[in-house]
Amino acid sequence: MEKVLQVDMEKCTGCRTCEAVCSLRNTGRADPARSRIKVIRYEKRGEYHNFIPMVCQQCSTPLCMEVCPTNAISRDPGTGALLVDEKACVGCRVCSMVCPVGGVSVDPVTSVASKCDLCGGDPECVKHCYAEAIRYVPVSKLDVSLKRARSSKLSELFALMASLR
Amino acid sequence: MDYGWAGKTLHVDLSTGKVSTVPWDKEGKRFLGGRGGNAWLFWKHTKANMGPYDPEAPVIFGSGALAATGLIGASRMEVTVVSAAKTETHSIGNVGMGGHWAPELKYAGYDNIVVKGRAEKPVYLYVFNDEVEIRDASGVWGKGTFDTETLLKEEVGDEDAQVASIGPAGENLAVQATVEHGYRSGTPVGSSVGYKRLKAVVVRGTGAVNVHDPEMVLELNRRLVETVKDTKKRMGEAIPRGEGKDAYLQGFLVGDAGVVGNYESHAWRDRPDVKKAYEENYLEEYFVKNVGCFGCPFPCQPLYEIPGEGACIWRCYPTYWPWKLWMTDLASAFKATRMMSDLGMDNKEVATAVSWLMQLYDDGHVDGGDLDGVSFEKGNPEPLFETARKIAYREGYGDALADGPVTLAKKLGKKAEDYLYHNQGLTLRTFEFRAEPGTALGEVISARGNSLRATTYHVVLWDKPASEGYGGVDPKERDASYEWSRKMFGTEKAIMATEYEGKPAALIYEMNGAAIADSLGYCTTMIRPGRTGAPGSQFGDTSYQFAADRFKAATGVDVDEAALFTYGERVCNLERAIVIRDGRTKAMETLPDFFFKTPIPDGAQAGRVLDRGLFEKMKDEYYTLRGWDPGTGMQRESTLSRLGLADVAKELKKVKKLASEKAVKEV
Repeated sequence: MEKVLQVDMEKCTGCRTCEAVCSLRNTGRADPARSRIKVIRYEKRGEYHNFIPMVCQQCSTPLCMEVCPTNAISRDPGTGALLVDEKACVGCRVCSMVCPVGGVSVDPVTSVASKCDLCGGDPECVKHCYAEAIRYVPVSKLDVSLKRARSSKLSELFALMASLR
Repeated sequence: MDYGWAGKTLHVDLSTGKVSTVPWDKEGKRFLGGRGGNAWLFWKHTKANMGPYDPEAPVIFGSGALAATGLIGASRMEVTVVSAAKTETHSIGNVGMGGHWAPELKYAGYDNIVVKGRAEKPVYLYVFNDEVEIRDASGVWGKGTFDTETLLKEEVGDEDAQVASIGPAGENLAVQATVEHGYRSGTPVGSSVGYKRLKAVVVRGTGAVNVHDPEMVLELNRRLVETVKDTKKRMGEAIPRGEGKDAYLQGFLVGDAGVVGNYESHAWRDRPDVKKAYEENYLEEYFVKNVGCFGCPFPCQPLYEIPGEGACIWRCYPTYWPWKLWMTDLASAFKATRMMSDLGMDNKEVATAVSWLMQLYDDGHVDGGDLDGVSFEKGNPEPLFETARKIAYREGYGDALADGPVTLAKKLGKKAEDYLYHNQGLTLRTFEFRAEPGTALGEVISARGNSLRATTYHVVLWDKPASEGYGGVDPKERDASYEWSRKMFGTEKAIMATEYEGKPAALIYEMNGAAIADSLGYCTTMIRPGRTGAPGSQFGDTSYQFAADRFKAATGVDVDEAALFTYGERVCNLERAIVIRDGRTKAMETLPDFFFKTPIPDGAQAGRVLDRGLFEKMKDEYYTLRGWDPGTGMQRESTLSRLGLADVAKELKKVKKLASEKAVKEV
């Protein structure tokens, strides 16, 4: 069963462990600037602290793959991850321009496209995310579990409405 | 090649505008980094009895040695200054805080920053990798730390930049002032920074930190995540995650350890309104979520939001004060915490001063006339807000208080001086020392002079618990911990709160562990080595072995448990050398008479009072175990040499602050 990374931004505590361990696993150094996952922070001290982990969603219609002029991006038949052929990539950045979630960028060291490859089906970030903001779930369960998470808010609302009646 | 460390120290002189870097070398690495590394830089760049307001006095920002390595739970920074708050002795003042600043500094390529000199006009330091600029801060001078952070991030055009700043309290040289990052600072160091007209240090790094054994780092991380998950299963709501009841508040009620008023009462938590305020209400009403530091699997910073005010973090010990002010109104407590965070001041220092004034007011020793017409009624939050503001802007009585509570006490008269309980000018931590001799010793013996870094508090077990249902210690764990204590220190009393026996050894075990954690940049909740208690009865993994394994994986330095312990010992001894050089004496290492004379009036620990003879005996034993001279509290050359600190001994000898070796034989 194909699995994907499911991000629940409400659970993210902004700790950036994912960035550190992603770079450790993939570059051998602690180097968040080269991490394939990035926690975007929307913060105003004294007001709010919101965090959104951004990572490749391995789209079913991958724009990056479609626009790549050198056909450097292909799908791994085993994991479903979109992989970059570093030899074929020329670092033109077109993939990062078209990606709707900012899931692919050009690595500052190798100068070729770099993106999440699901660690070959055993994503490191998931193992370290104590908050369970990133989970590795079967595609078939993905939509339902997100719907369930979001609908729980509605169910609270129903309960509130019932109590006011 | 450096593994773990970034390998460079940044030097900045605000008087001349000169910026330079030097290697973070073997000498410095003896003390790891963070607190220990800063102490080394402090030792190198200060003279005996240097005041905080001396242009040559350094302000040191350091990253924990392992921050940014990808090891989870390693994130902390340390700020070290010539203390203004220890008004009677000055010497070293330091504070550690988590957040994201320290890793950012490492990714920018530095382990630490030494700032000397004094700018002519307000400035901030901007560090972006190799680019270091001293920039004009006139746009943010006078602003609170909240706006400062937002505006400076805008100015440097980088949302990912990390800011450590001072607020109005630091600018106006209030001794209570802090350096703020996130919401995480406690102990006051801010006025020494304010004196330099240094509003903030903004860092941003896009480099990498080399790691000796990346696969082992990941493996140890995975293991720790599992341990933390187990801990959570085992301790449930006792884990300070803001889930259910807040463990910060709950844990503190155990054994009636919480101080009510100015050490006036302890039997307060059973009052229905108090119970309601502390146990039921506030989480649901105000809790937003937990926020954590860089690389934290255990976010311990509950974010609360007060409608119409904004958000703030209610974090751990510095906030254990509402009941010192007889407050049951937690919304006001959150509001005050947020306000003081913005003004850049230590809420514990301010609240303790207010608690003291409330007692004086209640007993009729001062009236509104002495205090600008402010009514210091017990439980009323208004005087807290007023006092915080007045200190930060040096208005009315706040002006004297900003020079330290001792200064205001002198103005208010004898009773005020009698009721003010302090240690070298710092107010005391919110602990009941009369029931906790080990904590009392830690308070006075720590270099900082006021310190959770020197305590046996964490796993003290109350022989007479007053509170049921504290999830942290169940009977099975208690017995295992007693067994462990007998093995480690020869007696289970070493980890019992109210006992004297075995305390010095337990305290050293804890203090060295805290020094290691603070120097490695480790979270002190989850992986601080050397917590007393049976293995497995703690949050996370607090064994020296685990800390050593992690240190080795990141840096490649081959250490075992014993070698790591020596690092901690070395840091504690360097700090000792500093305070001894700067005038600390054995006689100063005691608490005010009050704690030896006035028994606890009520609650489960009623009647307890410190015994001076036993206290002094405990202190002498502590010195002896440390290899210091029990007669003077000074260090010996042989002790320092054993720790690789012959150079430090040499300096102490020059200023006649080294104990004679002869005394060793007499012991």
